[in-house]
Amino acid sequence: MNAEERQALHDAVVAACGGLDSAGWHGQAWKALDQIGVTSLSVSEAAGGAGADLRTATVVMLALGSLGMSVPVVETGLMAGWLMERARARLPDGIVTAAVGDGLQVTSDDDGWMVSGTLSRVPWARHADYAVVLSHAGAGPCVAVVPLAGAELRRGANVAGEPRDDVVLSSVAVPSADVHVLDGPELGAVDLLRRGAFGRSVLMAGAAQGVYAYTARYAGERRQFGKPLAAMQAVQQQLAELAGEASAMTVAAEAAATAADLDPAESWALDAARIRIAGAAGAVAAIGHQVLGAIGFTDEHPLHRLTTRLWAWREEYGNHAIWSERLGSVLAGKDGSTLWRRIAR
Amino acid sequence: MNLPLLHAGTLPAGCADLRDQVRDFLAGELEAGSFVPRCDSWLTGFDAQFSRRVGERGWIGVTFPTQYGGAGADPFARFVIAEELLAAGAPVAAHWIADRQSGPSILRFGTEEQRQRYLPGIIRGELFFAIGMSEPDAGSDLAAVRTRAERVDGGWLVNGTKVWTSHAHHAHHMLTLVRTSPADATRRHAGLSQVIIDLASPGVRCNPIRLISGAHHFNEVVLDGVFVADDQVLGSVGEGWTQVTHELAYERSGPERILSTFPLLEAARTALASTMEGRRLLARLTAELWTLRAMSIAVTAELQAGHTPNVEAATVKDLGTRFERDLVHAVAGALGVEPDPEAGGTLPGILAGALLQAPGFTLRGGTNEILRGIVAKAVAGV
Repeated sequence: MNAEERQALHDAVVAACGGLDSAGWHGQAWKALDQIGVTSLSVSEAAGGAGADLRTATVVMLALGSLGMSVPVVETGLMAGWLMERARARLPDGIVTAAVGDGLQVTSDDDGWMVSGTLSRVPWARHADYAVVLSHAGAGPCVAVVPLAGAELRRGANVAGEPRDDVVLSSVAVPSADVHVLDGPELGAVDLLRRGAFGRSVLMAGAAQGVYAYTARYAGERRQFGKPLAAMQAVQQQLAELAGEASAMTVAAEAAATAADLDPAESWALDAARIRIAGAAGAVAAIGHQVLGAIGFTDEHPLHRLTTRLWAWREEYGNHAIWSERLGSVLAGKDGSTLWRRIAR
Repeated sequence: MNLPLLHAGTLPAGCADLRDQVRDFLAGELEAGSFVPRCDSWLTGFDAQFSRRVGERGWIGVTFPTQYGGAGADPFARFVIAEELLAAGAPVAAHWIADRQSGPSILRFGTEEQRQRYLPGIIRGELFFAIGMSEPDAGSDLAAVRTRAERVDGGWLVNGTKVWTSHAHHAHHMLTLVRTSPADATRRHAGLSQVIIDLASPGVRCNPIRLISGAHHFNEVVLDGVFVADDQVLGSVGEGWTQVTHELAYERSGPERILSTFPLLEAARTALASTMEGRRLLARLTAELWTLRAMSIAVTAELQAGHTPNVEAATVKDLGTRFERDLVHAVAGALGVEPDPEAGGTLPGILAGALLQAPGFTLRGGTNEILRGIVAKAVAGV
């Protein structure tokens, strides 16, 4: 996909999101995005996606992040769809979320499967029809498409007001066709979490672009002491730092997607992007709020739609300490390679 | 108002072979003991013999046209050579300035005769350049330069003083910004020109300026009635500001703005990996460097496409040089090793070298405050 095509895709996503409702769930927009076929871009066609690469899906996620959209693009497109590919099955119709279900009991009986246990902080569970869950059945890993219609929910939310519900499953019946025992290479929770964490990072990079746009515009328009804020050197220093961080976050997201497209087995670029992006989220939000002053601190101004998401998203699917420790162990170099050979391949 | 947005790309496929060749060369040099890895090697590692060997491989001025001895390669080839040499901490200071900016400026603005005169020697790694920009009263405010060139028969007579001139005591020539018309407060950028001064000319005096490490890299260059022939004027008389601004774009976008302290991280890796705090730091610094490298490649792609990514380059340099500095202090804090400037080649020695060079990273080639001003003015449209 070239630069013009990426821009066209970005514009189509923005158009589909249309007028925003302010609640923590953008169901109408998600429907519109589904209609233009961008909700599971990087999922293979056999699994119900569009068969595009991760770099293309990144364009969509950057756009959705910049608008502060509350839609399950990461759960559907990067996590559930990816699991369905591994299961050689198709994404179900309807609203789909995803979860790690290490603690679930998945047992078979004559009619199919029974699933019991609790899934923690499942994104948009109250709005979703299905949770695609990575769990264990017998000795091996399995992917279960769990219907959420009858599940008990313990409501929760992140600081942006996005639903993060615990799902309590008490002997929920799942048809045979919806539990897939995996026979391929071992798949662990960390593999799924990595995709979730990377997806949130791309959304964060988009959100940083959005914070930047509000901040630069306000600094150019708002006048104090007879001149725009942007004419003051103390403010200029902050604008430049914000521009730099937003740009770095975007490049990190794109570069990691490109690396993963070239070599799906090489996962460390996704982790590196996650660490770089989440590490900057706090500074970006802080500069936005500082430059916008009191108005940006109000419910009325849309800045908080982005800053609260930055604060929320950076803690989801594993926090900074966990991912840093994980990447640090990989980089520790027990394979005898230099650090440089990992960075420049 | 628009975000100076870079987009990640990939290096052309042909770069992989070149990278392997450079790595083989460096492995051979290390095995032969020709250098000890050090931080900031593009300032602190002056080794004319080493530069000659790099030149023999065809890796200096690799982008210059073949008629001058170059390879006519794309800027990505230069990027790969530069980053491999810097990551290894190799002594590249002798040829660095000519390869990065003086050579490209001569190629762009010079006469055919000037190109023939200077470029082949630069490419062979035999002809070294210094940058004659800063003066005692013209630092960040470069347009305040007072070095004057007065018209005389057949050329110009130059009087003035340049400072912070790296390796002027070794270099053969100095591409020098001079005032060829009196300063005009209403048109500060007018009346400037660039001249190529042969540093062996009568009237040139280099006085060492020692850095906090005690090392002699910087000089004060006093120009006392130095004659510069007309054919040593670069480009057009009066167009010096435009030319020098162009030179700065090369100066601000390369791998030397992110990799100056990488040899310390490589040397400290095993020690860092032994603690959880160290592993987390290793991950954070590697993630930052990996991102900066992707940004630097993106700037190179913009230059290659014929764009002028000055704002983007300023952004990368601001982020990159702060990273170079912060890496040193973060690693120092995690290591539990006392830096020792007399322990060259060991971890305490590399750490000491990095600490003592670090204040310069965010000053040279435009302070970070100047860079941020450039970015802010562009993005907020003031």
